[in-house]
Amino acid sequence: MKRNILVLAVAALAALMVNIKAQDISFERLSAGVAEIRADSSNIADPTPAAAEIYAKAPTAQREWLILIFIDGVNNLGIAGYADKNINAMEKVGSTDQVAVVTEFGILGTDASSNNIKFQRGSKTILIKKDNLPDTVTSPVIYPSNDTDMGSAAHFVRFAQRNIRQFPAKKVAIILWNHGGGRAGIAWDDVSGNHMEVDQLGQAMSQIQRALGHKVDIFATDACLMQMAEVTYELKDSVSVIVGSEEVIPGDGYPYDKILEPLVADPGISDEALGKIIVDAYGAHYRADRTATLSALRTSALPEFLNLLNEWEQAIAADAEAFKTASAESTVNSIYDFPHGSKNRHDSKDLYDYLSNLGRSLPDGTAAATAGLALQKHIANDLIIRKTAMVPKAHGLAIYIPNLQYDSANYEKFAFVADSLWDEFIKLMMEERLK
Amino acid sequence: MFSPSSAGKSTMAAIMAGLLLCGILAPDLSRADTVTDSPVPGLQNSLPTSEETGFLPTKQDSRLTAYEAAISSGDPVAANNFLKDTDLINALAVTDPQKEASLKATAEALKDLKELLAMNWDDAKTNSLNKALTIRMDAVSPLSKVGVGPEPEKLLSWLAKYQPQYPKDKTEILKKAIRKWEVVFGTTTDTISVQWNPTVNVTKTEWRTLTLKERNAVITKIIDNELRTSDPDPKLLGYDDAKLAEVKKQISLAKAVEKTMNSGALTPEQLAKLSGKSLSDKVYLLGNFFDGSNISVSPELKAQISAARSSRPKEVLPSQQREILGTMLNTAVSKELAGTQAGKKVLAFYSKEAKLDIAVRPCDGTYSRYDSASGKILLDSETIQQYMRMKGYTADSLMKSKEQVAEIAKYMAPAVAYESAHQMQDIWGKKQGIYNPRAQESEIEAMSLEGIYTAEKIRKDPASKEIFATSRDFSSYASKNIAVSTKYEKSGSKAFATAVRQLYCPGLPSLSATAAQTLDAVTGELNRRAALTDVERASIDSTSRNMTEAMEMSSAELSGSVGEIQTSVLAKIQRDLSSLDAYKNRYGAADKEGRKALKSLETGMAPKSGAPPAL
Repeated sequence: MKRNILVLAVAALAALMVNIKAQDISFERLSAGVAEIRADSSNIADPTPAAAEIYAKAPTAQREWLILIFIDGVNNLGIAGYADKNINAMEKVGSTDQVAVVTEFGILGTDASSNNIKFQRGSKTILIKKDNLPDTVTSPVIYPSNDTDMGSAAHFVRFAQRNIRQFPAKKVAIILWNHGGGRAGIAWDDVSGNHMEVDQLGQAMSQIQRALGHKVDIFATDACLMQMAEVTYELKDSVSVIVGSEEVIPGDGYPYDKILEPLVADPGISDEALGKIIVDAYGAHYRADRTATLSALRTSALPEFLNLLNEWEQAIAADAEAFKTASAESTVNSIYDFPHGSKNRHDSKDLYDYLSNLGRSLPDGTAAATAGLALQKHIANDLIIRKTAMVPKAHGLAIYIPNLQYDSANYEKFAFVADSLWDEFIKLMMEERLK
Repeated sequence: MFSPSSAGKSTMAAIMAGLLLCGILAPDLSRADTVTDSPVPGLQNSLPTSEETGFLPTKQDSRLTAYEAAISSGDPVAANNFLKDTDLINALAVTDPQKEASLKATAEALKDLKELLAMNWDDAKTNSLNKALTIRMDAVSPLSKVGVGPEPEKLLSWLAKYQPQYPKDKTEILKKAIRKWEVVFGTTTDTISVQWNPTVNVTKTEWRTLTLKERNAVITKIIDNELRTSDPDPKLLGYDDAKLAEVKKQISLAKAVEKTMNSGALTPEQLAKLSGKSLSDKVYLLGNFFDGSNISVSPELKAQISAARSSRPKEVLPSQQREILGTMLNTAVSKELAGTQAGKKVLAFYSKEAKLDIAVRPCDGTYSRYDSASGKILLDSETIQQYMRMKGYTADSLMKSKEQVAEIAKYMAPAVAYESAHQMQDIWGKKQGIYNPRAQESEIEAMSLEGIYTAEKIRKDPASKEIFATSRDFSSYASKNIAVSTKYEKSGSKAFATAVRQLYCPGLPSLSATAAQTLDAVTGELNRRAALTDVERASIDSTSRNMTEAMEMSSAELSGSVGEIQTSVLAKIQRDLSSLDAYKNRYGAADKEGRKALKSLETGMAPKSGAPPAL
């Protein structure tokens, strides 16, 4: 028995030596470029992750900016080719040693010849590299994931946290790309059936902020209808500058090349400066569109915004005539609403425009009129850093004003509702409607 | 089981051999029975064990080879036999722990699939079967790896091969559940167009390659498009139980509104206000017309409309009042729970392990939720507001009335019992220090507790009985509570467990399925990392999720993101899920407690021991 053990042990030790030698052979990483991702491509990315991923070398000295874009194209936006169009725009500029641009995407697509639907299984994270191919995405995959749910807030958090660790930077901008629904949420995934509620988005940004150790410098939504008081307030403690649109955003979305070019040229710019660049580039790109809006706001001004809003509400509530005018259907129906232009009145309306319409009906010098002016001044001068000019009645921030029913199931979840008197004001308004 | 410094079977074996030579590790003579595989009689105790040699004894090795071949081809009988072959499993855990984990994952998945298909599936449960199969047969899953998916038709081939006696009528249900092209779209078309804005095509050929999740997405898109028309295709609606139920509810509501408007009970002014409005606005306005009026329509019609509409401003509980109500409910619900068996268990838990902390909030369409981060039980404010509307209560009246609060407590106490079970499970998992994914067994325990509580309460408390009896026709919450308690009482725990799996949470994996999926993903990733250098692994670990973060992830999340979890954490999760005994013991104990309580309810006698099961 002892001899058997000895023989076997020697054999095992020999095997051990072989294994140790095997481990000395350097592991060859696969660098899988992303297949063409066109709306018409039959090369929808391989569903199974590559056997190895590219991980960046150990983090280098901090770069100036990390730009993270989470693209949920698992819906008609992906099918229509907008995701690949935007990624190609990013590739016109690419990343530098001072600005890392990282995108995770999951999309639906179609086959060019047959228009058959194609499902991408799993999502891919790519580090955007400059190329001269305007119709082909060539950036390398740095992380393929089997997680297919692009409507998941948890997935979004993992994307951000993973890349914040991987690409440390002094400043971080996060762009969430997809359909937006204002207070209804963002990032609808047609396969998982999931999307992110606004409170989930708030919690997600809070987790990301904790991982980062400071506020996220910019959070932008390349998605419709998101620039609402309720949405931005949810993010105020975790983000410094919020960029978003009160209105629907055209399918082409942000002009990413026009945003990245000035950033790469001058990477030391501040969060507010980049916020202005995004808004200006968008405004230039859509200057002929009479409905397009985009604004950047500073969250540090939101607490004072809330105070002034509450003061205005209290002044209105204390003045019976002012309240009557403020809550009249004719007043409310005259406010510029979003999305604009359909026959139905929508309940997301420009707050500044509301104050203007109301202010015209209030006697000068009354508490209600004065409070309204103070609030408008704060919105224009302190809260909104920059806004586009195509829609004069859109001043950068929308707010919920229902037409008849108060949506408590959705609205009562917002931190804005807990902290402000706005819900009381609109409920009083809705009570009037029932008389 | 997984050592980051090892590089596979031969290294581990060599280490073991070396340790033996050094006298550090003595052979485990308690495993002498492993050497009964010796082919030579009389030499049973003289052959070295697998621990000693680092290799399986010959007979075990050949059994393993046979199991591997059978399981990799999807043989569920071999899978079940492997899981029962504890000798081999224990030996393999020493010689090749990664293989052991991997085989276990696949074997559990096959066993689970067989058990799933063995359940009683009929036409009414087709969509539930679809949900159960969807989570099991995804693109990356243990079943797909052995050829049972991801293409759903592979399930039929598997069935033909391994269960040729599977009943024909159930096979037809299965074809519908896997959304076979011919069943969904008929036999006369090979291509359909779907308006996805833009329009896309789906061909029969392509359909065969889609996973169930993808097929469901296409069908959902078609249904949503249909629902925008005035006459949605009822056949397609049949593929989504929730949407079909909602359509039926809306049709019923529209009829109720029409009946009311045609009753002659409304004034011309009221009718004018309703004219041109959406159904939702009409229902809302009618609720306002009913308030404090003598409009003579039947109480049932009024209740239906009150339950279906949204809350008027004075019926909405604002955040400050919700906070106060939550605090009041802590006391009021505790009072309701006392005097029942299930309630005693819940209260004992809250006296020893946690604090009952109720909060009232909108819960996004669910009746309640347990929030692990805060330890709070969240009760849905919309469910409470619906009850208030049916009773004619306002936010102000509720805050001023102990009686109204007591009613709310009676109404929502079953939800508290239900969520307390989730809290018990959460605390148990944390105490055990193990990864504790939510599975059907979690729901079986929670719904059993809710069921037994409600059954006993309705028997003992006429006021509770009245509340649920008058609400059940108009409130899905009340209706569900009655259904659960009746089912539990009448079916017993085993049949109830099946009902939970089939009816209430088919889209949640069973413990076996969730363990299989997670174990497979984790083991695959550990195997991949085993081939990396230490530097590469360290680089991954430096940016990956730690234990706290991973433990909070659902099994689906975890399985899909194993690449960004630290190696040691993956190894820990692998260990946790390699043996399900701890989980099964926990759920078994809860089941036993429930059966005892049910028996005593039936006999009218309290059980001898009032102590809660050890957690």
